[in-house]
Amino acid sequence: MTAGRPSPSPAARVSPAPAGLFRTFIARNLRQQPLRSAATVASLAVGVAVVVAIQLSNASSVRGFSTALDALAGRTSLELTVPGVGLDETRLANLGWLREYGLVSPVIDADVLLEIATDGAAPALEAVRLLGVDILRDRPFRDYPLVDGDAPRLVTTQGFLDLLTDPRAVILTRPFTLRHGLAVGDPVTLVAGERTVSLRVTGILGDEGPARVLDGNFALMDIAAAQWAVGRLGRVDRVDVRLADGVDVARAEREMAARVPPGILVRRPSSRGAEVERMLRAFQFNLTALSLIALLVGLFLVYNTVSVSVITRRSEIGLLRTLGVARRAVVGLFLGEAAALAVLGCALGAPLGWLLAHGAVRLTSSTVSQFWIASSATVPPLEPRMVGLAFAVGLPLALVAAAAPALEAARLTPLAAVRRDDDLDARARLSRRSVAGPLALFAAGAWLAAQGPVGGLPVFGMLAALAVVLGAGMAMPAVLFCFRRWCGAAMARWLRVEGRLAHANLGSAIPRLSISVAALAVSLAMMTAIAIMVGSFRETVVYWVGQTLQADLFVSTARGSPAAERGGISAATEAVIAGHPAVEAIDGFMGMDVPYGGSTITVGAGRFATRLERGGLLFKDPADGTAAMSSAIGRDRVVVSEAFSLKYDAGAGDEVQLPTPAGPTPFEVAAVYFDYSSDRGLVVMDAGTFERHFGPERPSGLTLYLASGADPQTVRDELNAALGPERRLFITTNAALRAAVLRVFDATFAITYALEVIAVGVSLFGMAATLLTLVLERRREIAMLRLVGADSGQLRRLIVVEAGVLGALTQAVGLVVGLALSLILIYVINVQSFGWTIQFHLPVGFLAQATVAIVAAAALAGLYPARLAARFELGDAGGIS
Amino acid sequence: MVVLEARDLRKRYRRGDTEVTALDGLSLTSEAGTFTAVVGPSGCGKSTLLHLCGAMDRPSAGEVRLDGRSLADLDDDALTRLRRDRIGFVFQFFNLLPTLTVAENIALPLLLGGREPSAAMARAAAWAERVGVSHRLDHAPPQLSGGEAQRTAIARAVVHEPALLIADEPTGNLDSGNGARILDLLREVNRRSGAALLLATHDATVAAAADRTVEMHDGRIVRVESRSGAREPAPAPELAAADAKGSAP
Repeated sequence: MTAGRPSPSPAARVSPAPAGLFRTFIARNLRQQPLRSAATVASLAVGVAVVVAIQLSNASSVRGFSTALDALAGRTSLELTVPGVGLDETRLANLGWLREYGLVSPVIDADVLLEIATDGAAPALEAVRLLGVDILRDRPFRDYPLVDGDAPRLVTTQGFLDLLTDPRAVILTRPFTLRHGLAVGDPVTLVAGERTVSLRVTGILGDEGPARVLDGNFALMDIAAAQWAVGRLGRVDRVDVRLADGVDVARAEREMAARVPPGILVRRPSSRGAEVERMLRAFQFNLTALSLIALLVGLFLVYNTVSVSVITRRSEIGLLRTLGVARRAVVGLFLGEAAALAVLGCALGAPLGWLLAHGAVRLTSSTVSQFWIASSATVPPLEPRMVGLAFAVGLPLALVAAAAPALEAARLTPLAAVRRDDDLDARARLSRRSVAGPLALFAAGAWLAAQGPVGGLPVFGMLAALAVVLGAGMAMPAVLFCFRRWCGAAMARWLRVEGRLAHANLGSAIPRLSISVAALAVSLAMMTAIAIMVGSFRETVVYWVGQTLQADLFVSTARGSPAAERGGISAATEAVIAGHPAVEAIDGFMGMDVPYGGSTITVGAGRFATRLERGGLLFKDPADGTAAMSSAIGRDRVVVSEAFSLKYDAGAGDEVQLPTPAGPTPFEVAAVYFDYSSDRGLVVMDAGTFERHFGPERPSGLTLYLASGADPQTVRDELNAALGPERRLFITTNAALRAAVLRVFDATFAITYALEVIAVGVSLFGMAATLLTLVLERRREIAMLRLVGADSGQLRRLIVVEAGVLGALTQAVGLVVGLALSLILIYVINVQSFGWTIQFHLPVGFLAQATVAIVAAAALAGLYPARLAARFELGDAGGIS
Repeated sequence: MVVLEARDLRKRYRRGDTEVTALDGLSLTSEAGTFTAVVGPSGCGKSTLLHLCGAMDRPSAGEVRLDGRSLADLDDDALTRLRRDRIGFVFQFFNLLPTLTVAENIALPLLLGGREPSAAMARAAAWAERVGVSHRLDHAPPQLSGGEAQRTAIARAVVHEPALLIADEPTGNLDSGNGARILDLLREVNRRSGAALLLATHDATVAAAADRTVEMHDGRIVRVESRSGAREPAPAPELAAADAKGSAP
């Protein structure tokens, strides 16, 4: 801090060379203002870090999936699948011609749980990717390097075959066995659906090939054993084809697609990755947009720092111009200042982003795996690419932010040095631009909000939000002018002499304050908008859960995976459950992932009659959804979720083509219903219709309706006892499930709040830095106040009141603009990205608390400048002597 | 009645590596309603004397008493309150707060002292009337002429009826016409309010208007001249001390 220590004007010692000029005029000044420089660098670093963190966390969720995909695909060129239900083995005989193209290997590919006994404690459960192969056929496709400790264990194909011939044999990976202290010969239990199978470890794979899936959570079995273990006798999930050398993949894909019987899809393994990326795109797009807000706030502060630097050094700039420094060199100097700050900010931001990414991944991975794909929650290492991203994002934007003040500096004439008009312009006027600018941006926002999505992404919606946010920032000078014009009397009345002085000080510092206050207003508006959006969403979900979760008990298999797995609860189990005297009705649900329109949707089956009788669906279209749903029983009609309807533009009465084992089959949409469980699109048909098209499948979940008066908790305990420990089923009461739904909901939005808290924190920090600058600039006036009798307490209160008033003003703007933004979020961005209708709800309590917290935090931000002001010496009132 | 009593004041401070003696054993008393001009070349210690007498700074040795009360044992905030209640200041560069209106600037000591705002503003308006800036009440200081700004500063200095009025080169930044008018105003305020006026100046015309002229050199009083024209020798510190004792109430 240079308080009280006048430093010789750097302009007086300039060296003529640009580099020397930069050193003396800019670098020295940055060093003399360590607090302001550090504040700017820090806030830019945080902004850049948030962007990097979100990119890393986005990358980690896709990376987990695509590395798994690559590792599992091995040298597979093309794969044959039947969407959802898998390929009937009897059809394989008709596919002998595939060998004309190359090698062929049928596989079982399933997500299962492995249970590992531990000493005393509850057994460990881990999700594992299970691959079942015919090792004789599969070795050309994938590498299975067996190890013995650290050393490779070389075995012949025959030897490998021997390792897998036992139907209870499983080969695990070295990382997995190390984690759980397993060795060859140890027992493990495989859990698939409600089934459990005891297995024995017969080999350990080195960290190569498929073993690298999901950090080693991979298990290899013989295909027949795997079919039996996961309950898919007579079916394979895929047939992998490795094309012979010289065969063109595209041609082979075309020819094979023409030759396979209807219902079988031929595609490249990578297409599944593309589907996943498309599925996650909206979620990641929204996170990226949010992370840019934090960066925007950082950039506001760069603009602020360079502006203050230009304003306070007008006479020095004038002197430089007098000494013959060209306008272009002046622009270069101040852009150089921004660049110096940005380089430091980006250099710190990249590693900080990597650290933040660990938190972000923890917050997002549960969401990603809850809704979309099983992903490993590890952060990729900080690669040069990410450091490059930090600089690519931070540096040019910082230069853009600094361009306006730098150009302003260049416009100064040599006269500025003589005039010494660098004091605060106490009565700056409200320019027409500061009223017309925000109005134009708000109008543009309204127009943009009315536009449709681009490629399934709410691009215009985001631009509308950006326009409103920038409009809010630009409106701050006008708001401060209104404050100056109309609030003086009230401030003087309520806050006495401190209020009167604070009002006068703030009113006179509008040009200086506008930027940092705008940055705060922007982040507060975003926070308000997100609070309203999440609050509305939560209320909507609570209502939806209340309406749709009508059953008393929910039975599901042990799986907690996102991908709806087929099969699960056997007829025998259902019979046991139905035999309980309190169980009046049972609805069964199963769903499976099928590719649709370049992405993945879930096709499900339910027992419509039970559903209709018991109620519990909220229909969007048509008005009498219940009648429409009952008309779907026994016919090729489906009900679809709102997300499906919006994404694929399919309303009641429209026809959709679903892939079935018999090839694409048309279904009529009977009704559209509200669903907030997934954004991927759900198509549901009556169980009978499903069986007709996809074959008999057991449900993966049951909902039980109990006789009136029956206690769900008691029935649950009795059912658990009747089913025995061998059947791995989870029975949840209605209340517990509702609580779980809301827990998932809150976890989903944790990252959103975390990003917002960072943005608000950075902008509060920026505001404190601005207040400090103002206090230092007003050193003379503050000393003058001391002289005429303001005691230290009054001075401290004065600065704290100024900070608190700024906080209150920006929060007021934040609330109004945030309300407008929330409408865009709810009615445009959410609908376009996820296809959800959210009922508007104002979380009054939260907003009131946030307002109190912001005003208090802003006042606290004024404490340090206030303490500094109270310490000024009377001698600082220059011109006294 | 003695308002101000400065006894054997010494003030030393460091500038770079050298120690500067600004006041070197100086004593002075000032009675209610009197006008004392302090003259001397630049650097003789005029301003330092005013700072010490105005409770803006503390002496290295010696004592300042205001209304018979020693300032030595007052803490910073007590000194601030003393300035607010008992002392008024007028400076060469006006030192008005640019963010406040003329009326608010004048009322500032009253407002800071917790006076009811409407009463404070009414009193400020009355003083503005007396110093001739009542047509400028709602203007900001940058909009005033030099003379108007200094008249506003004078109104602020006396609005709370101080016992001591400190003026440091109050006409130094004004043309001769405005300077003369400001001097008349100060003289009039001094007589009517009964405050002791201690004024530092380079200007012989201004000094000539005083009841008494104190000439300083190198931190000491070298000559005291009363308005009658009789020259008094500079009192030795011990004499001044005895004098002060004798005249204490």
